[in-house]
Amino acid sequence: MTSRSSSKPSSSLTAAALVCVAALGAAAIWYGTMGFRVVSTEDGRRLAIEEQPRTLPLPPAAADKRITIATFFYARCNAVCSSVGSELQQMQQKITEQGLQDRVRLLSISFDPRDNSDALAHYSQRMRADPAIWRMTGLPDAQRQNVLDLAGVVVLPAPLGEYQHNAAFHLIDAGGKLVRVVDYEQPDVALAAALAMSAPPARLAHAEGEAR
Amino acid sequence: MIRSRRSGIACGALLIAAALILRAPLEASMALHMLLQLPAIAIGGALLGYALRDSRAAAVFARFDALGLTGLAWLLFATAYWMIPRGLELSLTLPLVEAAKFASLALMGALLPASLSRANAVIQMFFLGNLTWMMAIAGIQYQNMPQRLCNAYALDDQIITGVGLVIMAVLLGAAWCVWQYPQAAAADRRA
Repeated sequence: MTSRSSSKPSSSLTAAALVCVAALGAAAIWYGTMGFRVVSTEDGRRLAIEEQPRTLPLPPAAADKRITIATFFYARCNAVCSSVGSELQQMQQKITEQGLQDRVRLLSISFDPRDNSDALAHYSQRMRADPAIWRMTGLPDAQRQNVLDLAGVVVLPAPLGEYQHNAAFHLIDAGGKLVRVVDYEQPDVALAAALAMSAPPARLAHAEGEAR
Repeated sequence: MIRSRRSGIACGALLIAAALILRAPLEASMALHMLLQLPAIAIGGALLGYALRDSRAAAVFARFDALGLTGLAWLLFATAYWMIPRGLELSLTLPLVEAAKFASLALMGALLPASLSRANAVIQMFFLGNLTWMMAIAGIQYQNMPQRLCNAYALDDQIITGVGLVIMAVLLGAAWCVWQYPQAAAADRRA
């Protein structure tokens, strides 16, 4: 580097440049981590849904006035969704035992175009799903990607006709809005959150008053 | 001189262009994305920066880069951002973030040769030490996380990427030692 005077480093210019670099860098990292709160895409998705609930364009037949605990799955799954499947079975059992079926219901949404109504019916049978509590639905081809994008569900084709996807419990309120996502390893948290949603505090207090 | 300058510009531009054209296959895997595409953009930028070291832009930048601090600070922020899994994954879905990825890393590479030459060994060690430390910790985290950090990439891919980041951190540190050793030895002889 020749020491031309025009290229002589200046400490005040350098300080100013450093402030700019640091500000830009911090702003970028703020953006990438949603305000220094998340590093993984999945945590970011959950936070974004909690902050901005959204309506999923689900088939009208899948609508329900109860709180919905929805999961995305595909019927041939042998990995995560089969463990989610057995969690859903236990949840169904709890809902039956505690008589919660008019407050909460389960919905399994298949993103696999191969899952026709026969495949879903077969899966439902295999899971011993009680149709009053737990239903399965597919997605129309035209809406599939839209629903997945809105929910932030990313489906990766995997070898042997399998898929890898971000499984979780999706809580949908009575108005059809996706309001919260709970980790698939926390079915109890998901059920408790759904029950809390189904009974607003005021109504709950009222009901308790009546009970007394 | 002019020939080597031209070939430097050509090689740099070619590397960045290849990273751009081969975007789809490279970004289909987390390991290829992080360990091949991102370094290719940075190395492409460095070749351009080195070839254009006597340019007017380089002379202007030198005024803002006492002791190489500005270029090295850019290095730390740019590498930090692209090691955030969510930050990286946004480049798959948002074209603006993808453009920012190419721009920030190419610029990082372009600034680096001159900034390193302006920085003494202590300053180099501070910034490269931070970079390799951060890269190794990120790599260890990628391997240890039971869950996927990017929804677009499989867990196996994340683990391979983690191993690659640790290896890259060690290699960068080792390369710096090898590069600095002759200068340190020369200084010793003079003393």
